[in-house]
Amino acid sequence: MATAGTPRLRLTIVGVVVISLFAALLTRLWFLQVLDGSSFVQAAKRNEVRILCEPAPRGRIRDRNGAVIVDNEVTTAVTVSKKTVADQPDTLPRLSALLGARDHPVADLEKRLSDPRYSNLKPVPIAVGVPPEKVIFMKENSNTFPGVEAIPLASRRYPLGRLASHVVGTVGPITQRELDLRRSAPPPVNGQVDPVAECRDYKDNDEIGKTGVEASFDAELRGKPGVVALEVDRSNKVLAERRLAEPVQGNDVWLTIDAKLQATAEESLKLGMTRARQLKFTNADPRFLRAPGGAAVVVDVTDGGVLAMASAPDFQPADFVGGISKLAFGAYNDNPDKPLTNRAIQGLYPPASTFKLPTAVAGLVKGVIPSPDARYNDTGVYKIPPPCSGKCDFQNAGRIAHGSVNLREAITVSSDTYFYDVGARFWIGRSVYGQSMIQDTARQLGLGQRTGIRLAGEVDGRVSDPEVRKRLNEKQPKAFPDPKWFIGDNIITAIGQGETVVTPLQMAMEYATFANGGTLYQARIAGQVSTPDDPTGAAAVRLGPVTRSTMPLPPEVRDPIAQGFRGAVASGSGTASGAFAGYTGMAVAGKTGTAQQPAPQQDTAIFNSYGPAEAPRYAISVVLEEAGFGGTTAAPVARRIWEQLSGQPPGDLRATASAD
Amino acid sequence: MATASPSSVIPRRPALTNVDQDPGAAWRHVDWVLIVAVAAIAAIGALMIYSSTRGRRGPGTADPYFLQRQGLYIVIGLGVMAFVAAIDYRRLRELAPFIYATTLFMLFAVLTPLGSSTRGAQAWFTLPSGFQLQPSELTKLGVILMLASSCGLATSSGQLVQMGPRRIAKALALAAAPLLLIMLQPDLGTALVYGAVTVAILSVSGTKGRYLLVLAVAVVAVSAGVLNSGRLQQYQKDRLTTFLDPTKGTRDAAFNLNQSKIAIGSGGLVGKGIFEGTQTKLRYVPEQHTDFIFSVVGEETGLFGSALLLALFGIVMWRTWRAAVLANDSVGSLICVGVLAMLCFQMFENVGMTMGIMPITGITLPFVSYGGSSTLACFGAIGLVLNVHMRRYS
Repeated sequence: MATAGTPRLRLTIVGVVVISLFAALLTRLWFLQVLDGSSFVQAAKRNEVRILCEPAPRGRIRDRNGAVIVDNEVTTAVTVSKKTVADQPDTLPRLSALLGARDHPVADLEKRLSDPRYSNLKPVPIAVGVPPEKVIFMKENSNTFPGVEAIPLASRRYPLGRLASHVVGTVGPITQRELDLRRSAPPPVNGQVDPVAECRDYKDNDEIGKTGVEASFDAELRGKPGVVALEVDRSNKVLAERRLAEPVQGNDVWLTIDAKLQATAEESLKLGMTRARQLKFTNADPRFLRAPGGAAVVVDVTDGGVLAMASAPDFQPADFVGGISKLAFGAYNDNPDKPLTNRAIQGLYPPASTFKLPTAVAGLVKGVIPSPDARYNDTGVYKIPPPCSGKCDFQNAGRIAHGSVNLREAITVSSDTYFYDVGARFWIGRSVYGQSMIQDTARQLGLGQRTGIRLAGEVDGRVSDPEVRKRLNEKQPKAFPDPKWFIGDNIITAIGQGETVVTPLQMAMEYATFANGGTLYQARIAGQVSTPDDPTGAAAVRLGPVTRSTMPLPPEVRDPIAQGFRGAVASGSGTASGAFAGYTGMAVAGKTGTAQQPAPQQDTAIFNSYGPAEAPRYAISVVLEEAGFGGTTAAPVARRIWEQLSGQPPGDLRATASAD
Repeated sequence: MATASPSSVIPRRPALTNVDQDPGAAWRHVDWVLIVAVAAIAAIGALMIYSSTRGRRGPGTADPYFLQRQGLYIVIGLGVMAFVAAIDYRRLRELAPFIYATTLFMLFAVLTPLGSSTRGAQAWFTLPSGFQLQPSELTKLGVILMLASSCGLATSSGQLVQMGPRRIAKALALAAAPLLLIMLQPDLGTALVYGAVTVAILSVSGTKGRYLLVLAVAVVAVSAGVLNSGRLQQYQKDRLTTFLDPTKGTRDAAFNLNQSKIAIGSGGLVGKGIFEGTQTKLRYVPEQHTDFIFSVVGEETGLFGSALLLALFGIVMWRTWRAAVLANDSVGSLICVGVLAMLCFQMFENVGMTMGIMPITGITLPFVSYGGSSTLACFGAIGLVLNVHMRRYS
C-alpha cells in the first residue's frame, strides 16, 4: 500500500484554521460586549420589546350534571388599524355605511378608535357580532377597506337565558379598587418585570367577575392570557414578534345547582308572586298584596349543597356582556324592587313562626318545656304574669284561640301563646338558663351568621339578645333607643319577631341542620372545578362538604318537634295543610311563618320545610315579601318544588287560606 | 553530537517485562489537562442551565429539575468517557464496521414509527421515565471511527495512505449514508456536523490538493441545491438566512437573533451577575438552556466569563490537536482530527449563531447545552482522544 507521508503539515493547517475560528468568535464578542456594549445595555433597559396580552376565554359555569349555564361565544369583531385610518380617513364613513349607519355612526367609530384602552400597535375592535356576509364583502373589497380586518372575539353566552342569574352573576370591566385589591404585582427581575407574569396578573381593562359565581370563582374561571412580544422601532413599526405564552382557557366551575330544579323553583316563585297579587291582605286591610319579590332555596341536607337558589325579580345576565350601558344599568339599579339583589343571601327577614324551631329545641333541652306532652291552654292571648308594666298582653295571629295544646299541636297549628309562655319563662328563669338560651340555639342552627357560601355579598343577619341590643344601642342610638332588654322582648323573640332578621339561605340551612340530626354544613354553591377539556368532570377537583359545627339532637328532643312539623303539612289542622291538599309526593314536614313588618309594609310570607320526613334529603325555604300568610302564599310555592323533587310534574299553583 | 549516551535516549518501546514498571503503560499517559478542562466546561454549563431554568415556575422560585438531570448526564458522561478510553482504539478499529452498521441501523430506526418527532424533526427515541435519546448525536462517534479507519493506516510509522479516487469515493460513500438519513429527519444542523467531520478527515488524510478542490466546489454546489430543493421547511431557510440580514426573514427568527445579541451585548465586560440576566430570565431569548445557552453566559458573565469559557474550549482543542500530532499511527491521528472537527464546528456554529455571525441551526454547545444525548456523545468523543493519546507509546 502506497503511503503519502505524515500528516504533520496538514495538521498544522488545521491548527491554524481552529485558531482563526477562535479569533473570529473573540473579535465578535469584543465588538458586541465592549465596543457596542453600552448600546445593547440601553436596548435591554429600554426594552424595545412591547408586550401584548391576549385575553383568554373564561371557564364555563355548569350545573351539577354538566349542563352549561354560562358559555363562551365566539363572535366576529371588525378591527381597524389606527395608522391606516390616519392615512386614509375616508375608511371610517365607508365602514359605517357597510355596518349600518344607524347602529354604527361615524362618530361612534371615531370614539372607539381613540379609546385609550386599545394599544396603538394592534388593530382596534370597532364592531362586534358582525354578520358573515358583511365580513366576506369587506374581504372581497379589501382595497376599499384598507387596514380593516375581522378577528374572532370570545364573549359570555347564556344558553339557558335568565336561569340562575343571581347565582352565576355578571362580568364587567375591572375598577381601580378591584385592581388594587387583586393585583399581585410580580416582583421585578433586576428592575424588569417578567412579561408573562405581568400579562397574567390582573390589569387595567381586564374583564372580571362582578357578582355571583363569576366574582367568587374569578380565580378559577379566569383564563391565563397569551403573551406576545413585539420588537418595534421608533415609529412603532413592528419589526419582529415572538409568542412567549399561549392563552389558556379558564377552568369550568360545576355548581351544586340542578338546572331543572332551578327552573322549577324560579317558575314556582314567579307563579306564587303572581297569585299573591290577586289576594287581599286581610279583611280589615282591603289592599291587594304587593308581592314585589321573594326567594326560594333548596339545599341537600346531607352535604349543604345548594340545589336551587331562586330570587325574584331577576335580570338578564346577557345585558352585562361587553359592559352594560349606563341606561340599562340604571333601569336595573333604580328599580325599587331591586332585581339585582340576590334575596336568598342578601334579603333579611324576621323568621317569624319558623323561629319556633330553636325555641322548642331550647325549651326541651333546658326543661322549660317539661314534657312534649305537657298541655297549655291557648286562649288566643298571653298575659305576662304580674308585676307587669307597659305592654302586658300578647295575641295570637288573628286572635284565634287554639284551646289546650301540647308541643306537637302548638307547632302544627302555630300557637303563638304557647311559645310566648316559653319565651317568658326563659326570661324569668334567666339566672338558671342564661339570658340568651333560645338565641344561642338559633345560632347553633346557623341563624344570624353567614352560611359561608362562596358567593359575593352574603349578609350576616342578626339574632337579637340582651348583649346584641346593648351593642346596637351604642352604635345606632336613634334606631335602637332602648339599651335594655325586657321580658316582652324575650316573648316576641320566641316567635321570631323583634330585631332578629335572617336570610332565606340561613333558614334553609337551619331546617337542614335539624333534619340531618344536628350537623351544620357550610352552604356550597359549587361542587367541583374541572379543566375546560374535561366535559364529564372525571378529573375534576372536588370541593367537598365542610362541617361547620354539630349539636346534639337526641330523639326525645327531635321527634316531638318533627311530628309537629309533619302535622303542619299533613294533618287537617296544620297551617300548611291547605297548600298541600291532594299532594302525593314524598312526605314533607315544615313550618309556616308570617312576619310582621313595620307599616305600611305588608307581612312577609315564609315556609320552611324538609323531606322525606322520615329520612330527610332536602330542605327548602321559601320567602315572599309582602305576601301575607306563609301557609297561604309561600307553602304553595314550596309544594311545586317538592313535586318536582318527587319526580312528579309540578301542578298549578293554588293558594289556600291559612292563619300563619 | 553523533551519538547519545544510552541513558539519555527514551526508547519508544521499552523491553521491560514488569508491567507495573512499564513507563509506556497506557494509564501512565492519561491527559489530565484535557479531563480537567472538559470537567470545568461541563460545570459552567450546569451552572448556566440552572440559571436559565431555575425560575421557570415563576419569579423567585428555584427549580433544580434541569440542573439535576444535567448533573446526571455529566456523571454518566464521565463513565462513558472512561469506558471508551479503556478499550484500545486499535481494537475499536477492528470493530468499526460493526459499530458503523449499528449507527446506520439506529439512524434508520428513528425514521420509522419507533422514533418520535419534536419540532418538526423525527430525531428521537422516547425512553421510559421521560428520557429521550437522539441517535444522531451518538452516531457521530461511529462515523468518526469508521472514516478514520478507512482513511488511516494502523502502522506505528504514522504514515498516511495514498488516497486515490476509489478510496475517496469509498470514504464519501461511508459519510453520505448517515448524512442522508439525518437529512431525512430533517436535522440540518447535525448533518452539517457530519459534513465538517468528513471534510476534516479527508483533508488531513492523504488526499491530494486537487481532489480537495474538486470536493470543495461540489460541497458548495450541493449546499445551494439543498437550499433551493424545497426539501427544507420555510422556517429552516429563514433560520439559515436571517443572520445575513436580520430585517429579512420571519419576525420570529429575527426576534430570536436580536434578543440573543442584546443579551450578550448588554453583558458588557463583567456581566450582570449569575442568575441576574434580564433578557434571558424574561424569556426573550428562546431555548436558552439548550441551543442559546451562550446568550446566558454572555449576559450574566460578560466578556470575562465568555472569554474564559472560550479559553477552556481552546485548551480542549489544543489537547485534541496535540493528541492528533502525537498519535502512534494515522488511524489514531484521524480519530482525533474527527473529534476536533466535531467539537470545533459545533462550538463555532453555536456561539457564532448567538452572536449573529453564523446561521441559526439546532446545534448544541458541547458540554454546556442541556441534553443527555449531546453530553454523552461529547464525553465519548473525549474518551476517544484520551484513548489515542494514552496509547501513543504502545
